[in-house]
Amino acid sequence: MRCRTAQTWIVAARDGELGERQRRTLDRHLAECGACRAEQVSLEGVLTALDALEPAREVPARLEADVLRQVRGLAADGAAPTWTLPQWVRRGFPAIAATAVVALAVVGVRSSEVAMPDARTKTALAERPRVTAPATPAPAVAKAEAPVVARRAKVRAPAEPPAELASRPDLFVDLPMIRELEKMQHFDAIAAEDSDGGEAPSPNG
Amino acid sequence: MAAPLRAGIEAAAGTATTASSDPDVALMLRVQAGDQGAYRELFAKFAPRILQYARRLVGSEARAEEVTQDVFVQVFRFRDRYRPEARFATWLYTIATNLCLNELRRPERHLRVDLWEKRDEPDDEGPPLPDRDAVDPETGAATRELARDLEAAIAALPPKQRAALLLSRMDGLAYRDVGETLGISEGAVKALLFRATHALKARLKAHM
Repeated sequence: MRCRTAQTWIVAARDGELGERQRRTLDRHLAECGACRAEQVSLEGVLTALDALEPAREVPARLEADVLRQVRGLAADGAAPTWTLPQWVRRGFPAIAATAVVALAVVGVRSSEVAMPDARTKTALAERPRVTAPATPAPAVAKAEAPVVARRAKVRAPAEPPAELASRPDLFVDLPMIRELEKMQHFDAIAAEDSDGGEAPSPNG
Repeated sequence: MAAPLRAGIEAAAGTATTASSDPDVALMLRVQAGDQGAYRELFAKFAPRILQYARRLVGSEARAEEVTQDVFVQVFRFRDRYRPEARFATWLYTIATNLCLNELRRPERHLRVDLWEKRDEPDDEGPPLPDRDAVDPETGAATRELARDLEAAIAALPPKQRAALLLSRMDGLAYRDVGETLGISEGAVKALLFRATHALKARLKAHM
């Protein structure tokens, strides 16, 4: 047995953590090795000093009160905790729920506006300048953009706006909602085209 | 000192620890069932040990109290995760060790004053002194000095060695439980304890 192993085992032997066979091996080595016996004596001094250290001190009453207060709070919350949501989520649930309801309401209103656009609004869109592809597009860019332009051109051109709206375009032309509406109409037109299986007309009609 | 706990843990040792063989497991099962009286019993039994363990591991009275508080709040919060197959002390010390090691990783702790640092003035808050009522004053003084130097030597150990030493020698956990608590093998526990004991011996040469 090597001295290094023996010295590792000295502490374990004192703690009763060596098997019977290891214990006998260590005893045989200690009987033959003066250096390891000296080591055993000096380690015994350290271990005895460690045993004399205070194991525990009283817990301050304030600490106990704090812990029990927190635990009572958790118990009152019905915290069963390994599967519940984090406390900040549970506490914020009413706010999250209210936000979700408002968001759904806004989305619902906007969807209904898009689904049933006012005829007058539709016609007013004709007044807005449109981005169209050039008649003879530059080759590199035109290849990539051509399908998009073709899809955009699928939107049916609205009729002329009523005279009263045409005279006051500033009332509605720049409203973000109307810009969104235009986009939605593009998508509707694309969807209708796809379901019909027809071909997209050329950008210039 | 550590013998009663070690004896209790060894009594509970076996392939399957049950509530009937380990009173702490029975208490914890009652906590799981919503018995706050059982929780208070567990706190009264283990909080002093956990506080002392944390004090020696993190080296600060205030932080040790915070860690102890966190440990017992977590015991309650995660009570449903406890399984009676595991010894309660091992589960508890695993929580305590993780929180202490996290505490030691916090950079601001390096600015804190070492609790076990030698002081010139009479020490009211340092480690408690064994043999305070020793008949021979010289012997009492030497014992107190040894205890203080030993505490300082323990505080100077690397965290894992310190944790292994405290769990094994101060809190009386078996090597298997120390290994489980620290996430290492029994062989690694033996090696840690060997290195820790040798480091202490080197620092306490003057006393030996």
